[in-house]
Amino acid sequence: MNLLKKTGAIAVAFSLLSFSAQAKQLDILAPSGNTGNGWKQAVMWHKALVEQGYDSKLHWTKNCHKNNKWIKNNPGRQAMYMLPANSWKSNRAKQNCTPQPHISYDNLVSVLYLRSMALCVSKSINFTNVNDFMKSKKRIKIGVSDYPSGMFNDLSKQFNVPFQEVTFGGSSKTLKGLIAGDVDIIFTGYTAREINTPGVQCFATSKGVNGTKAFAELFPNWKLKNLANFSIMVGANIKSKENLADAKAALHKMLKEDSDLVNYYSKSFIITGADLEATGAALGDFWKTVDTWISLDN
Amino acid sequence: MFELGDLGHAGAGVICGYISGLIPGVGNFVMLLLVYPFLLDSTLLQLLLFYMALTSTSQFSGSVVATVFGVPGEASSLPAVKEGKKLFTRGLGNIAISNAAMGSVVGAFIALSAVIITLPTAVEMITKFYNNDIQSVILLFASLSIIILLGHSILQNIILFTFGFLISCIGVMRVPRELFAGDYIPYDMFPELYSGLPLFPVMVSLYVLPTLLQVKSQFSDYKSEQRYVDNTPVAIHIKEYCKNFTSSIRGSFIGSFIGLVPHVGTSVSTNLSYAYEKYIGKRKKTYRKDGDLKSLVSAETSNNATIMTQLMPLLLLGIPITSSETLLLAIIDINAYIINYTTTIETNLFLHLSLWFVIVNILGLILCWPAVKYINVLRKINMNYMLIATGVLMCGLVVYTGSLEMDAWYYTTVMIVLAPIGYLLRNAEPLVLIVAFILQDKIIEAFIAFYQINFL
Repeated sequence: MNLLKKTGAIAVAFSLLSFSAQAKQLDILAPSGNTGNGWKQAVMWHKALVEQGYDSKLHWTKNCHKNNKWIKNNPGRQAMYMLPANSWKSNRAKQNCTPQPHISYDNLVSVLYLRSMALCVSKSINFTNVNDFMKSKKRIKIGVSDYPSGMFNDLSKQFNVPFQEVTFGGSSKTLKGLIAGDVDIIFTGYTAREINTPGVQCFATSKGVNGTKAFAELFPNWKLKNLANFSIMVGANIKSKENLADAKAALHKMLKEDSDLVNYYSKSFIITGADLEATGAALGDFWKTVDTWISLDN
Repeated sequence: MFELGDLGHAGAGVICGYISGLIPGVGNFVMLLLVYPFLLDSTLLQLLLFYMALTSTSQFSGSVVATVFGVPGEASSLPAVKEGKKLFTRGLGNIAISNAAMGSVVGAFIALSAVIITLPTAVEMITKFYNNDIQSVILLFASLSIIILLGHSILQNIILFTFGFLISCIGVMRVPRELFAGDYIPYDMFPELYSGLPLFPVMVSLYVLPTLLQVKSQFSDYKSEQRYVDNTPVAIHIKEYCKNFTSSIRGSFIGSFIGLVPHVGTSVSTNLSYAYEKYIGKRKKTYRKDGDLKSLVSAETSNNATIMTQLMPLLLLGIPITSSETLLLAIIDINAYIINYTTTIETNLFLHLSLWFVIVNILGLILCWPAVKYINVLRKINMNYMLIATGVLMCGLVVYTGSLEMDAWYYTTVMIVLAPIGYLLRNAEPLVLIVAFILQDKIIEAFIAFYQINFL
């Protein structure tokens, strides 16, 4: 009898232990290509969640439609995904797709980051200042990836030189285009890659970070002078406020403490998570950025 | 240095290559498609390792089938069919096979040496001059070469290329919809189309199906009453090979050079080496009409030399120059890797690959030569059943791959809708269509940039 009692007690203890040790579940969705910064970050978030003890899987959902489909088909799995403001705009314009359920404070995990855009040139041209650079060209060939045309009309007026946009399939190819001499200058996201690639000099950024000039200082009339890459983290199938708060805490923790993520963001002078919230950034700012992107098409 | 996963991929590549060479008509392209769902988690090195092992080993075993049964697995096996079969009938099949295998290893090593010697210059040239204009010219050259060189008719190839190009534009939003009647594509009804047509079901319907139908006709000559026997000591095999060493060297150089010409690959290098050796033999009056070992060795050496050099444009520039490389590039893209000199040379990946190349070729020799005796088993298998089984397996893999992507019904629907077109392609060269389908985004990107840089 004693033995039976002991066995029963041990079984109860084990079941309680296993219940308490059951990992919280939070997946990462990657509704983007799988070669760029979006994918790279998704991989790091997933790894950080696993290290925090979460039961987490990484799902490559590729695009807005498939992401919505995943959310609909997996109601039992909590997940979160990154949504940059320009992606919201291009998904709606090109694929007639918006996130489902719609984004609101009911499913917003957190504002994620604000990353500067940058203008970069090749070091081989011995760039000294923007006026001399613009004067030296009859036409500026500017490399971009997937942005609306006419973005540089204000710059064209300011320097009285035509800007010809050259479209590359992604930011890494844009950078290679600059190195290979296809274009004179590129407009791209400011990341560690742009900062560390030999032979590349980024002279101006949205926020004037890392010793660069701010767009607003150099190009006061440019419609995009304040435009930066604003991204939010959206929750999927997270039904309770407590779980949404848990997800936010996990995200902020990894953005502060995970060495890979800290390294990745700090190298690119990106403001993230709680630090970004402290500046007052909120969902309204995300929609303002979306509106700016939309206005470029009009 | 040598990780278990890498070893596994090299080993799997050797085994798959052995099988792909043994089963006439399957070829590296179909084998790569068959194993594609199992390569979705592989690293860039592992993908390249698998591919290199697959293509190298299939050349060893492919010549065995061609020699014993007289069935060309691929166009590159034609010299083995012509000379090998005659030698086999004369009772010298074992010598033909061993000499071809040894020649293959020598060819591979000579090509590797040539690549290593020229690599620094090649990388420097690419870093300085590989701009969008040059990339556009290479893509244009590659596209034209497959239209001109493959198949039976240039007009037919142009139609196929255009069709492959247009169906790959589905879901590509920067292509104006009017260009390919995009308004008739039911995006709203099937939003999956925004992701484009998935590679795997397109391959199965538009390449595997017509290829299997084409191969079926090859088996009319698939009869051999003579069994393969080899009681000759290894020393004699080596001695015989030494007699043909100069032919082997000639084949290596021809193969290494031809490997750089887009979309001709082993089929041209093998046949060119064969033709040249035959010409020399006839001039010296040493050519034997009842089976010429020197011509065979030169052709088979050329095969493996080509395998190495034809990988270089892919490794350095990310531009595939053979159909199976085109498929490999698609898998590399899907696995989220970028391939060019920055990811292969500057990361020392090429060094690892070179070491593995040596190991794989030695493995191929060690495994394939003694394993030749099992060729007699093939005699008992009805090859038509084998083809049907391959087709059924492919269909199953389409559903499986689709389910991995949460789109099993979409993958299946695409396969079924395209299958009738695949049937119509049974008398054409389906590779033209597939290459256009895979290269579409690279072509569009390069040419839009080319237009913007030079004409606006």
